[in-house]
Amino acid sequence: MTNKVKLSRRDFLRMAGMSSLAAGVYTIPGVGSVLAQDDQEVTIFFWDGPPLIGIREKALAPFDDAYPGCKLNFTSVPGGPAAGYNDKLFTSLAAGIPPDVFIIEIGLLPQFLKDDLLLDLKPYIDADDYDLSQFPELAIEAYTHEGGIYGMPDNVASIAIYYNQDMFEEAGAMPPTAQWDDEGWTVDDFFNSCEKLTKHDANGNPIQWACDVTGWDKVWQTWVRIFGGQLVDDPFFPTECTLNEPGAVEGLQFYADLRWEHGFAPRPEAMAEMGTNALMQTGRLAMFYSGSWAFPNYRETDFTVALGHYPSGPGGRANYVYYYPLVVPKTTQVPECAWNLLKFFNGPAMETIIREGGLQGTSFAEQEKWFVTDPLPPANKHVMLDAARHFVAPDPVLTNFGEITQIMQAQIDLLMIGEERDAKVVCDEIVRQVNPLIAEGQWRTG
Amino acid sequence: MSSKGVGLNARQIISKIFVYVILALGSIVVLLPLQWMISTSLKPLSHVFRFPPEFWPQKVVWENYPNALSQLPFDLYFLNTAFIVVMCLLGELIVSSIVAYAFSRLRWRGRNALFIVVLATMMLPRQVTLIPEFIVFRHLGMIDTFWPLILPSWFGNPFYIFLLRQYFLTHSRELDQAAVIDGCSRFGVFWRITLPMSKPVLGAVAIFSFQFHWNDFFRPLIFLLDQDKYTLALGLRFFQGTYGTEWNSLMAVSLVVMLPLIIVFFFAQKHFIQGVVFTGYK
Amino acid sequence: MSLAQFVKNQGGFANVSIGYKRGETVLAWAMVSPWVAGFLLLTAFPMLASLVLSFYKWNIISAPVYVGLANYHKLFFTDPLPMHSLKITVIFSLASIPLNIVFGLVIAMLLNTNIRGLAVFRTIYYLPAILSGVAVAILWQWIFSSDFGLLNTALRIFGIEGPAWLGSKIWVLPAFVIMRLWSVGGGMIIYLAGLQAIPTDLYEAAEIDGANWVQRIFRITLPMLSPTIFFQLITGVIFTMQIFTETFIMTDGGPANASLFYLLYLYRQAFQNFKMGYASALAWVFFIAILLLTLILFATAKFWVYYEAESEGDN
Repeated sequence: MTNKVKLSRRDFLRMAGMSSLAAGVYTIPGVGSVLAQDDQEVTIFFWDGPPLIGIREKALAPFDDAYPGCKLNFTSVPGGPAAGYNDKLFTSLAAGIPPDVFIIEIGLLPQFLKDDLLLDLKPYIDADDYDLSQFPELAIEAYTHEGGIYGMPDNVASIAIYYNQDMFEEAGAMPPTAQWDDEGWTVDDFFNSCEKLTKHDANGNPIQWACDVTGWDKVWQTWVRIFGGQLVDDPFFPTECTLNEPGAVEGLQFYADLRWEHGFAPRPEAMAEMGTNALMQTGRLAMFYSGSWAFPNYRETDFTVALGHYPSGPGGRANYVYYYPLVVPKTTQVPECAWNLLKFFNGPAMETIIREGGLQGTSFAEQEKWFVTDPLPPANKHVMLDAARHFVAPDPVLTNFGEITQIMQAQIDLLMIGEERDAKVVCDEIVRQVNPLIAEGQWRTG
Repeated sequence: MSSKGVGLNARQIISKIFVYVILALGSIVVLLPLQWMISTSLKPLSHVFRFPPEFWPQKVVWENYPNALSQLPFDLYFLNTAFIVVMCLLGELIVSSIVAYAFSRLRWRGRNALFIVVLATMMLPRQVTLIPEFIVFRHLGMIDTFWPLILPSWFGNPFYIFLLRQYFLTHSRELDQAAVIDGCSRFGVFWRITLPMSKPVLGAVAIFSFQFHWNDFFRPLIFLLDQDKYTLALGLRFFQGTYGTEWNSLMAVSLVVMLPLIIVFFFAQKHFIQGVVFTGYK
Repeated sequence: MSLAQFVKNQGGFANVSIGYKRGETVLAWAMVSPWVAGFLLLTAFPMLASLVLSFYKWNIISAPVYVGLANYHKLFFTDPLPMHSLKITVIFSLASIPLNIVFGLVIAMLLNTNIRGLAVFRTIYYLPAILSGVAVAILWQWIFSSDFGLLNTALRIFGIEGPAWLGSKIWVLPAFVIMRLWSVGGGMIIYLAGLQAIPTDLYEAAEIDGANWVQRIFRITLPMLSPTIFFQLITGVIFTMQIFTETFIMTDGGPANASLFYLLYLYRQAFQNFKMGYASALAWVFFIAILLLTLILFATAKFWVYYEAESEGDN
């Protein structure tokens, strides 16, 4: 211990000095710094994986010829929104070099609108007399703020019930309806079918389940609506969480009881998609929920798979439809080309995107023409189009709905894994935690 | 070592059998999950979740491999990845060992304080330094080039500096002193004595570095824009789709992507870490 | 006395007790200069920037707003999740780090013997470390699946009905510990390198003295390997505490936040909730905690880490 102690203090000071010097070299540039881009080039970010890889790019390839003077620069970012895309998008935004057109999750849109970062497409829509009625009305309303329109749909993706027709016939159970305004296929019918479809072996162990109970937010929220409940008082101008009101509690209780009270559903899995696919494909599960992206899994099955609607309850029939927008940043140097690209995407490119990429599509007419008529299994594809036409329940427009969803899901988990059997307890706790966050996330008044 | 060559006695045979049994059991535990990956990669999508699980697919679909691999230009990704990996590996081997030598076998003021700083750079979660770092590289004009992926390796990697330092510290100082007395410079000691003595750990650094950059997904994701510059890890990540996952394609591509790593490891460990140094179980 | 000096005086570092030679100091700075340059050019600014941002409210897409200590106040006093996530991260690490060190050591010692098929065995044990990312996460989701997973199928052979691993608040952490243990072979290569550095004459001498294999392990192998074990411990702490990918893909923190590890919570704030300032505060608290822990471990090193190069330093 003969060395004197002054060494490291001086070292630390030296390091600190050098560090701050280095810091001085750089400064964070303001968002929206001028982009040094070719005037004609329009860049777009997507997040495609198989079977969509390359399909959207292929569908958009003729864009350059259709709009001389515009040149498309297509980037597909791997990993989807959660596992890569958002990191890359936000990094580009922060560094002041965002793409000219990009897809975002709907929950992120309010923050972009609040910070006034997006280009208003209304002038272009008006100038071209572009028909917006071909898209789900509520989706367009969600993209609208103070008269401006700040997005165009990337895809409309409905959730439907997939069911094993053979199992229903064998059990003599009423199958999910394929007609939205069917007076039958009520919550009671659903329950009766579940009873018939659930089977146990001699020891009382389940060998066949009727339905799936997952923590998937869009599914439990649909059950809340079927029983007349709502997440918030007004989705476009929310002021409070209403999940502890009777309809909502009843819906969640019914949904959770399907598993824990009645044993109609298998035990929870960490990844709903994997567990339910496994059971469904092996004929041990009669119904589950998914969008059109699950079609490829059911093209070659030993049984017939068809699509049906959710049952109707005190709140009527309900559904959820994903409606992620494509948006254009205000700072773009090529607004005309960006708009042309959006038009081209929702026009000439859409046939290829639906038929080869397997998406549901955006406009009703295109869905009618290409999506519904696809002859491959599952049957009743028009169910998804119907659902999109009747879509009534958009996400609450808050800057922090993503964070609110995280809070809700942690509580809903307790119901799903059977830690808490009383939906009221969970709902009360959600309301308690979420209300202050709603106050934080409000950003405009009706 | 007197018993060597004379034949094994009963205790040695028993202990050998014991080692084999343990290793074999462990191998089964390690390989079973991989077997599932292989069989999944050969199943049609609708058979992936058959129950009870098919340990070998009833219907083997070899076409899964060409189908999955033809969805993206994997040959191009392979070349990009190989280039990046080799450049990073060289940088990390050369620079990290130089830096580690100073931190272990030279005595100088501030050595330990600075070493804390080296270690500390591994402790701050990258999520919060990502954007500032991106801005740094933007100012350097290096976005959408391989530079942000390669350059840091040539400034020394703290993980390898630490590993090499620990290894260098196990060498006796007498060797260095003898060499210095013989007229060797300090750098000469590093080059002619320390490095040759450190073949096993340099092999470990090479294997780790190769594997890390081969699999690294995050930095290429952030810093590359042009799809022609993408790497294998990025290509692989595409298969975790936004709209559902093609399990069989994902497994097929994962296995193909890891194959070069297995080969590199097999030969690298043979070459660098020869095996028996002592017979420990007599 | 600064903490660094405290640690140094405790002998955690190689003990420096002879005078410095000028030429050696110059050479040393020349040799570390690449790292110093890289630090100043690429690392220092991002680190400082994140520290500065921890005093701001910043949603990434607009200009930051100064909020003083508000982020830190929230972290320690109003938001229960940082401490919850830190707690489960520590619990996980306390189980995972020792298990991985012990198993890694045992496997490496077994694979350092003269048996046939050594290269094949080493490759097999190293395979899990080669695989990374999504495929592994999905593989383990299947293994842990309650009804059709490999693990519960195997347990059923022994008449045990396994839990719904990833769907259970209790079993989700053990599941991640098991998963990390599977790739324990990754550390093997480092132990093997360390084992190679042990001079064989030590064992020969011990044999002549009549030491049995247990004595040889505890008197020669482990002490001589202690720098390597120390390395595995320190890096184990740094990287195990930063567990992220597995939970991010497999459970997304669930069920009911039971696997909401610290970095997952931090990531959510940074890239899902538009709270980069808060995320930066979370990161710096984490940074300080890991740094202190590392310094403490360095301080303990003098009791159990043996450095040949420093052992004759006082002559």
